[in-house]
Amino acid sequence: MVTRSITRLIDEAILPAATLIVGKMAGLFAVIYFLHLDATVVPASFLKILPTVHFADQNSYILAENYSNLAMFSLASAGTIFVIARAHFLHTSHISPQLQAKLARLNLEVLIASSYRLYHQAAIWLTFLWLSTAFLVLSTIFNITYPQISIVAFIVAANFSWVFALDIEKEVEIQRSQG
Amino acid sequence: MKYRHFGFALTNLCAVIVLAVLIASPFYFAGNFTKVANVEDPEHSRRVAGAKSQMPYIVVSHTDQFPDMNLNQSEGKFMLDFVKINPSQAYIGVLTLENPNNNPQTYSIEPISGYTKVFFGENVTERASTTTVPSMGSVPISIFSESETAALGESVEFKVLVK
Repeated sequence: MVTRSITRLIDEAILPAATLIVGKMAGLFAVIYFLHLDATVVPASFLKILPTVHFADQNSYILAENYSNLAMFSLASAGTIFVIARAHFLHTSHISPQLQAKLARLNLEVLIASSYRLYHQAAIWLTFLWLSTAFLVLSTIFNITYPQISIVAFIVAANFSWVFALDIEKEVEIQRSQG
Repeated sequence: MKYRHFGFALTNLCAVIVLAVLIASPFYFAGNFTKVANVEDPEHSRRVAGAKSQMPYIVVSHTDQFPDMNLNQSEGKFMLDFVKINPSQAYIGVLTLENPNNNPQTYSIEPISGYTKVFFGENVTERASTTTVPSMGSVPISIFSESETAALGESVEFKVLVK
């Protein structure tokens, strides 16, 4: 039998993984469309199933990589913000009674989540966020992504981690006062 | 009991592998979804963070600027077919070789077949078969045919080697 936590993590990882792939693809096709880049889609050339996008020159490739990586990172950030905001304001352990009543009135109680669910979600989203940052940094080292993007990504990831750590700290305090 | 513990550990290990694959998949996808055309010799290339970095070279073709000239590529080999106007003729800057690496690279041309001379640069009198290209720099590749055969149609096959 698989440990409950691992099952939960797998469950929570599906959505962000799909979101990042969609973000990368959408970013790439948007930049090709709006900047009129010279690119061709070669079918079944990646893992013998998936298509790949070939650029005619290095400059177009770098431009497309930058914008698509930025789109991917933005989606990872958006998901992490959502989870952190939920952990701060819609956490069963410290949600304000007024907000809870308001959500109940609007039939939106489904937004309130337990520590177990939130922490698994946050662990996954933060992992994706930091891996995206590492991806951007590596890409910068190899002269593909602009350094400004990697620096901003690192600052965003560090800040989000810090905000999430504050929530964990708050949770520990609550547990300690209850116990 | 022992087998049960083993089964439990194995199932969890498989679950962890599934999780790792799930987490790595977007980055693997992002790293391989885009490519640059005209990249030669993929055996020597290394993929890092969505980029084909450390490519040995990029070859850009200008054969469309020369009448009756065609370029064919296969497995790192280049084949130029052309029809001469004069028995002895040079074509300058038929291709451009770019060094996309962060370090200077030394390249050499290895002829495979054909009488036509392939060389780096634009100087027909001093035809260089080896050249060092600075980082992000480029060098033209030219050809010179001095064979005075009756048939003006010729072809030459060569490879570019990285030293």
